[in-house]
Amino acid sequence: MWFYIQGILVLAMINIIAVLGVTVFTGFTGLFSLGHAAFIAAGAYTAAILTHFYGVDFYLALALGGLVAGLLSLVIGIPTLRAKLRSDYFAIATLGFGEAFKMILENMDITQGARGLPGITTYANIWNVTIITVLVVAVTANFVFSKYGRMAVAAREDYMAAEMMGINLFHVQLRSLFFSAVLAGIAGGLFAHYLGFIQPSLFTGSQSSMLVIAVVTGGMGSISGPILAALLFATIPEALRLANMWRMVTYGAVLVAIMVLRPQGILGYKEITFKGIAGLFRRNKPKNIVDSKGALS
Amino acid sequence: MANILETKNLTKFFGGIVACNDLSFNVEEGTIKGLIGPNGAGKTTIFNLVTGVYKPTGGEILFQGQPIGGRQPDYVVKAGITRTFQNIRLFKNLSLLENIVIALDLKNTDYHIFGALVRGLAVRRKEKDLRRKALEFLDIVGLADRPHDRADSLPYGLQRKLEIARALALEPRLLLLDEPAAGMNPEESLGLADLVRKVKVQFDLTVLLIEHHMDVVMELCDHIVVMNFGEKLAEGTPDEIQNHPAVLEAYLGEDYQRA
Amino acid sequence: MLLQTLVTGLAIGGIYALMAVGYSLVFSIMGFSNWAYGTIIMYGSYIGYYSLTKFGCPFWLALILSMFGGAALCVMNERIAYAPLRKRKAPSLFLMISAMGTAIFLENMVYVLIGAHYYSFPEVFQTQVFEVWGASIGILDLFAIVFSFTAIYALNYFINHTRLGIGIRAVSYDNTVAQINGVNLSWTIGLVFVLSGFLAGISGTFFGMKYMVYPTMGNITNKAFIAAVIGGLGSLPGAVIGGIILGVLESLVSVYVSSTYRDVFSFSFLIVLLIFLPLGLMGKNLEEKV
Repeated sequence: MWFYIQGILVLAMINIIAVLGVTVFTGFTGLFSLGHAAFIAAGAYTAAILTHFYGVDFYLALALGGLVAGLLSLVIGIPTLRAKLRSDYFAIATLGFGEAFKMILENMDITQGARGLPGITTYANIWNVTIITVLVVAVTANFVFSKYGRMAVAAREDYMAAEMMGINLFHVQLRSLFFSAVLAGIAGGLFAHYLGFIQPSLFTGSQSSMLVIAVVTGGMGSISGPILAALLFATIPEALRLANMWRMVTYGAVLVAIMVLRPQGILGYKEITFKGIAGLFRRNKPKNIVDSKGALS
Repeated sequence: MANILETKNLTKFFGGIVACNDLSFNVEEGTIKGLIGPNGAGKTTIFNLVTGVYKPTGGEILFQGQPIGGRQPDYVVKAGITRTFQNIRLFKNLSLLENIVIALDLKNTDYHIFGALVRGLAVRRKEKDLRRKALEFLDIVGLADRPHDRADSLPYGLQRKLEIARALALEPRLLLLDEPAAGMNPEESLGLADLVRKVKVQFDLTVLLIEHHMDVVMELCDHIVVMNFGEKLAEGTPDEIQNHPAVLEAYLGEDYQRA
Repeated sequence: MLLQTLVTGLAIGGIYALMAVGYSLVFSIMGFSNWAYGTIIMYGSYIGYYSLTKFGCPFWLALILSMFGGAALCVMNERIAYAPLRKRKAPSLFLMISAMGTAIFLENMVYVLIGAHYYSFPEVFQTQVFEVWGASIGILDLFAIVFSFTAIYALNYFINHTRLGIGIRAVSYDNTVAQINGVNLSWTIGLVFVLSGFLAGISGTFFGMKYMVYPTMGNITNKAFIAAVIGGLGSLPGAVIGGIILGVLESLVSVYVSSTYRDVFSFSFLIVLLIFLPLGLMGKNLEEKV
């Protein structure tokens, strides 16, 4: 039983790492990507090939996997972001990129094509995955609460005002993309070394969509929101024993429902903080009453 | 005094429409220059050309002697020109404090990405300083008492002031104000004029001002340029402009009396 | 050989053109990409298939049923998933996400209710083949080309020469001004989705007849999008041209380069095009007034 729960937690945490990347890219920078599965795949394959064929140390391989995924993101990022593609064009470009990359994986020798790579040593376990996840959460939070996070939010809120703040949109967007790809790559490496086996068909457009769904549901502009959403998505279907197909049907319906009823998601722009939870219990909230002249009354 | 801003034969076409035609004028350092003219004369276009939103079709723009025509907006801002918008472009969903902090980031955060990710003591201290400084800027426009309120919860007049504070936080040499008194009553307009005068002295700025409120213009400006149909109609001191026949006819109306 | 390739390309191009026009219609009115469009095309295909097989309808009836089925789905989609957002003036990103959710919902509904089988349309047209200048063209392809162009011509006439059509064009330029001039926004948008749905039904049926019917057909949205973008989003003639160009290009790539990489080519072509010609061939330039 513990083993079963462990399995769910490990996969949930690996998912959270990828979701955090997309949180920065979509939630905070406001760009919509449907091809992040390609970065997960890049990280997975790089790390797996390095440990399996070249005996590289696991943690080094993970880092290199993240790096390769990041570099890959520059390949699609630089031309498309420099061209200032608007959001739906950019989304389709990322989708196409994801599909194209999968096709390339299926036809390369070193990745053993569609058959995949079996026999990967399962270095990933609940302990190192937990530690890495905590580190990633901390790093992501630091990014968001630094000037880099603020520049991304400014770019998302009003691109022209952001430019008038001396913010270079291209640099900001590319930086967020790189960051999100590295995180996806690390998640991929962990995934490969937990499952012990990878093949291109594991890294689908569906997987990319799921990341976006977690971010939107959790709340764009929040870190704890998407983490919470990812946990819910990992655990609730298991608890309800939902068959795979109905799971996706539900996700689709949930996505529409959120957009129509509560577009800010579960937590919107907020985070789960101690102050916030205490606020839920406070009965008398201070009110700001401002009259038309702007004076406080 | 040197010219902080010069345009030479500046031209901008939008397809068949001539927004700006062979326009040449200068702004002397340390002055407040007014840019007036009827709606559609091309005033905001000038601002957009100077700040890099539009690329000039012809002519040059020089800032402190260096060409900036056709440069990206973020380059222009870093060079030392900031602006406010006719339609107010605050970060509406963010707080007052956050709006200022984003502006302060430009010149007050010299840490790098790795420093940010690790967030050691130096970075934390910088971040705290940032917030303290932001409150100072809010104080200049009298908004320091509610730093965490949403920017769009402010009444219109205060939003304009916040936008000015934000533009100041970028430490410019030249400040472009696009109709800052729009929508204000006479009392508020004079308050705004006071504010502009105060910050100009405090921050040692040069100001270029688009405005329709003639009382504000005549009050504040050392020198005025009048535009119509994308061209320069006249240039001179407030007195000269008020009595210039072409200007009176085109814009102020023949009934305008000097008080 | 080349002529044959071109002819095949033209046939599929006609179908892409239908899809691209349906897609572009919604884009020019609502200003966002309807990601769910492909799944509606897929439903059109299934409706056509089931009409022919389960209910034994004649072909013309199956086509009509798929047209109206597509229209019904499109309108329901709009009312449930897009209208509330539009009324709130939500950013187009939200509309896109809602569309994505709809697409996921619809696609997986087919999985759970029908299953993942691939279905083959029964032979409606005899496998007779015409010889034109050394190239052979099947009756199905010929019929598809003719029907597609007729449908597009009819749509073009409707939009340019009827009152309702002019209302649609007015809304595509400026919502508010159109309403001030007496155009009922909700009805007009509903009409646009009905038309879009008609096209989805027709193209879905033809596509299913030419290839097969399966749940992930929804991915065809991408082709529709690519074709619409080539021609320039917001331009209906552009969408037609884009569809034909895409069909012909794909055909050429399939035959002369490699058929496995055909889709990779389509996407790469799109990306390159967007970088160098962001407005496609005939797209509208929407510069923001600062």
